[in-house]
Amino acid sequence: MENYNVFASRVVSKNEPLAPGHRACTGCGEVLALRLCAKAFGKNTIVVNATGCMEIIASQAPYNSWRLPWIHTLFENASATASGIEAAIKVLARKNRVPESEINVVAIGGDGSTVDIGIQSLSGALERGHNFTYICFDNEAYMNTGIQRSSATPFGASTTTSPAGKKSIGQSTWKKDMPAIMAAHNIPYVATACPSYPFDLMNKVEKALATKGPAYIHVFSVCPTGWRSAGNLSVRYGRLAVETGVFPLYEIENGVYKMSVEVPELKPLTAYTKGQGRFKHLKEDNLAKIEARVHEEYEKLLEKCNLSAVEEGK
Amino acid sequence: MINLTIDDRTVSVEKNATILQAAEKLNIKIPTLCYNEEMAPIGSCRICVVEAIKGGESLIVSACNTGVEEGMKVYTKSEKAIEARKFAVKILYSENPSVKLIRDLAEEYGVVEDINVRKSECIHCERCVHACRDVVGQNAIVLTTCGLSYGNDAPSLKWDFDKCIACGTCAFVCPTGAVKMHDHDGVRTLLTPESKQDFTLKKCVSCGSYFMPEVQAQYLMKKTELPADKFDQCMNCR
Amino acid sequence: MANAIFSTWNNKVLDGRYNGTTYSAEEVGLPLTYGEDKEFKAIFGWNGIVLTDDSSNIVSLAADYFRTVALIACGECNVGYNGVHLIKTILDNLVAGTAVPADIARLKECIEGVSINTKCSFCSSAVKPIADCLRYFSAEFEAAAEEHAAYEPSNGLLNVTAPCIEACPIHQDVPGYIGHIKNHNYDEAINLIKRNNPLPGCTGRACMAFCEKNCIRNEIDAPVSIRKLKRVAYDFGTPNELVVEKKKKDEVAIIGAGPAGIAAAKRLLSLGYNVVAYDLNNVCGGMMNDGIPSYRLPREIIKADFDEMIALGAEYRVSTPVRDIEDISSHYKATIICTGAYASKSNGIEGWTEGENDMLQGVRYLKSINNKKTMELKNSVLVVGGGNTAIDCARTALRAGSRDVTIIYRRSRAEMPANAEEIDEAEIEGVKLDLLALPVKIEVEENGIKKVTCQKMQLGEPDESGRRRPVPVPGSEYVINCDMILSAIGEKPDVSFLNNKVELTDWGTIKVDKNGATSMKGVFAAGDCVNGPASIVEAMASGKRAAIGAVMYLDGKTTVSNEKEEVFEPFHKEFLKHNLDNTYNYARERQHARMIDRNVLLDNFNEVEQVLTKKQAVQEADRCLKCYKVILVTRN
Repeated sequence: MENYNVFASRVVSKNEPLAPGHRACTGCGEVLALRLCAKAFGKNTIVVNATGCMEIIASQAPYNSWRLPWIHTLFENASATASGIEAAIKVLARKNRVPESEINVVAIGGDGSTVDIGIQSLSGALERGHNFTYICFDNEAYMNTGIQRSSATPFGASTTTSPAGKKSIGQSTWKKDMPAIMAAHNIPYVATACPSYPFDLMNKVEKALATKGPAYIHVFSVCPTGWRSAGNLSVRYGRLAVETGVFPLYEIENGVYKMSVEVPELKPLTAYTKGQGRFKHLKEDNLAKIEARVHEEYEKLLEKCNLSAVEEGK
Repeated sequence: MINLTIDDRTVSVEKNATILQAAEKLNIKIPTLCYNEEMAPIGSCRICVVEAIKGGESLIVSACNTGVEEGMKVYTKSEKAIEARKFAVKILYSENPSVKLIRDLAEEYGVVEDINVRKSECIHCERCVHACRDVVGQNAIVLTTCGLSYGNDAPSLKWDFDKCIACGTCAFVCPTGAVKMHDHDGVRTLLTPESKQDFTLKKCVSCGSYFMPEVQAQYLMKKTELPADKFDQCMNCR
Repeated sequence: MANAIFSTWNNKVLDGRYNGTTYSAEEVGLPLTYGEDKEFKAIFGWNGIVLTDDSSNIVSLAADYFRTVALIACGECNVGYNGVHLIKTILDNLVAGTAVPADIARLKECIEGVSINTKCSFCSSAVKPIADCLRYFSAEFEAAAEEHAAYEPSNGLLNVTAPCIEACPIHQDVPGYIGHIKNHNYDEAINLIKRNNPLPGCTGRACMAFCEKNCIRNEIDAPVSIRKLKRVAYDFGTPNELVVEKKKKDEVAIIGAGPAGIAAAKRLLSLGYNVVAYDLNNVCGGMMNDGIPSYRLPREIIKADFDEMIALGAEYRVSTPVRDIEDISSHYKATIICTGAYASKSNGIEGWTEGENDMLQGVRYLKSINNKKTMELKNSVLVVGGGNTAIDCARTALRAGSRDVTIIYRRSRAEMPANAEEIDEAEIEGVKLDLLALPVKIEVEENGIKKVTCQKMQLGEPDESGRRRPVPVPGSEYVINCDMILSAIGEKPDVSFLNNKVELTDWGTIKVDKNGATSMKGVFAAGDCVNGPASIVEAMASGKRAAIGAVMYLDGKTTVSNEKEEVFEPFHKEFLKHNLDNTYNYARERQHARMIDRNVLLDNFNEVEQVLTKKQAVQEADRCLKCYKVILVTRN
């Protein structure tokens, strides 16, 4: 998809596999992303959902928001369960009980259940090469249980287990580069996405579902509750994350890097951090340090993309 | 409610449903190309054809725009249906093998040869025409067809740039990429099979980034009846 | 008597090529002669191939036929357009001698593919005769693919028609202009309409629409709203300016400025003649102006259509009644009488006093109101009759202020000759229908109220028109009281000005031959005065024919100049048939034009039906199935 803003929201399917009436917070960027992903899933998809925000808000007994087959797993083993389901489909297909090519298996989890406790089962599933898609909804902390830090929490963010104070800057480690870890498994498709670019997100989900073998999408999910940002600005913060280089949107297809949204001139980091309570404590020098690192990572990514472009051109 | 069978499986649907909708209810997949559920069915690609039998009479019809009838027997993979679909795939494949869906279908139906059809990037599926008409409402694209009194050699797509608001829906729905759009240096360029048009983009008065074509802003102003200054800032600065 | 040696017409295969059997026209199901026993050599058309001898080159016939088919292929579906063009290329190569043997297999494949999978039924049915060729003439086609010699063209005569085109007396290219409207080319659409229709504005609002009655969609859901689409083209399109060159010095007179007159005028002007038209009314339009109310056909539309003729050079002398035919015919080389049928038939009701006691012929009433003469308000009005005139009288009476309007008609609603839409509109506006009833006696009371004794009728055996004859139900008399009675049971021509110098038919219309010539030399006649009260479009067809007759007379010719019409006339019934066999068609709702609000007091003559919106027009145009039929005939 080209980099342009399409005014064509009405050509998107009106299908809503994630029914309204769930319990997400006002302004939740994650459920917005989840709803858009669900639209892209189509009818023949089994959703495997690890414990987390999205699981809780969509399944307060006796209600469930999912209009698709859905299973709630443990916090850490969505990938393992998805692997089992995918293997079972293979067996049924071999016995001609179901058409294998038509059933998608999608595992979803938050950053906690993907980047932390779930990384082991995810790595195993990718190594075994199951035909499934994993979508990580990254709101950069364990939000469901009350805003605790994860290894996806960005440097300098204040959470309850990495509180900012006189001696502490908040999170003192840098965010794990999960897409790179996924790509290192040599899977056919890895992508980052953000609901502020809805068509890009849905396109990538469709692409991932169509990929034979494992596919991984890392979705940037703005959490106004956890980040202490205004609930009506979630889409804007998502856009600013992309435009400042904090969360670039790109794809890695069979090792080839491709930028999805080109930002010729990165905006200053403060455009993004301003207004987020979790970064309120950061001083100018901290912000400068973070911005330098963001730019450095961005340059590295650009290099990888250019290298790929050159190689493709050959 | 109307009852019919598809591939010998019974289904019950609303009176105005199409065969394609009935098949979807049964989870039976019929390949489509020009179909988009947000627009009225077009019926131009001839890929979704199925064999429909009613009262002993068998016909090949396109599933997307044929209504269901009581007691109809539909076969999506009968010999006749496959034959009809194969020919349509053959023609499309010769015309424009760049579309992934066409390549996949060609592989599935064993189509390899080029049958000397006029090559064209645009496969005249008319999705852009219908999207602009039914979804956007601007009616800016027309497929000028041929006919006795027409004087065209071949059907062609015409854009009316007085009506176009550079929204990109046509480029978005085009299955072959024959309609392209990209932004650069404050200008949005639309490349259609017949023309090239530049649209100036509006500059945000606060941050200076280009965010919307002028014509689109004017269209929204007229439609929402909001004052012009509401459209001066980009979405981040508003 | 001509006989065929081979036929595949209508899927009935008769093959006498090798055993000497011949087949009659009845067995083939198609006429084999035209005009006065002139024979066809070969017929190559949408429904099959017919040969009367073995001298035809079947490959040439196929290529010549198909070249026209390829011109019509619209391009809206992938298989139709591309498939047809592939077939055309192969056929052209076969006649040029540049084909290869592999082309025959490709031809077969394309024909099979196209014949079952197209969006509309045109391309899929047009390939049928080529399929017949490959099945029954494979040797000839294979030979053509191997030889490298070019073949002579067939030199046949081609016709392209459709059920709607054939049903239209002036043969408008209906699918053609509907296709233009679908493509938003309103200008092209109106230009196409005007090619053979001098009253585009009037017919867009008030045509009988024989095309719609013969539309194939009558068998699926509802006919395409062809008339409303014509109005779309007229209202939204800007036509090219018509230009005619004055080539001749001769002047032709036309008596009557109605539809027949304008059609005759246009034909004459386009052939370079000067036209002088006379009319007793003070405006042009004839019955359109007098009889059709302005809520159906605004006066400006009539004026615009006639202004075009004036712009082309016709001279209209209005308010000039003709007292005697020789006053005119003696001053012009040729004269065409188009005086119409505007006199009312007498109704034979006991106690009827025409023009007194508020008993009036319907057309006289309409003429007064339409020409803006005020009439005294009558509260309850009884209209006798069931045609469009009766409906027009009733709806006009409502607008003139009458609150209680009833139409009384002796047969049932289904047999009413009026347009079904008009009857519906009348009911919506509050007109009451008293059906299967007939007034038999009128008595005028002292206070002016008419006491009308009516009798209930029931339908008996059919009469000579094919409709069931109404017979009175004994003992069913009842009384209706009303202030005014309008009689609209039919019209007849006023031929008093002929002063018995021109021969009439038994029905009181002017007698003419097939070229429109009357018994008086140099005098022709057309329209309602010849055919009896009919329709605008039939009058136009008649006027055009009389104009051609007049031109032939002026040129000193006696043979028919319209060869094509004579050759294809025998196929008229075949052209009208519907071939629904190829497509299942999704029933789609007919678009309804917006009407003005009838819940408010109707006290004006503003146009009731509004034009379809552009979006509605495109959706309605999309319903057209393009039932074109192509036929090629060769003759000895």
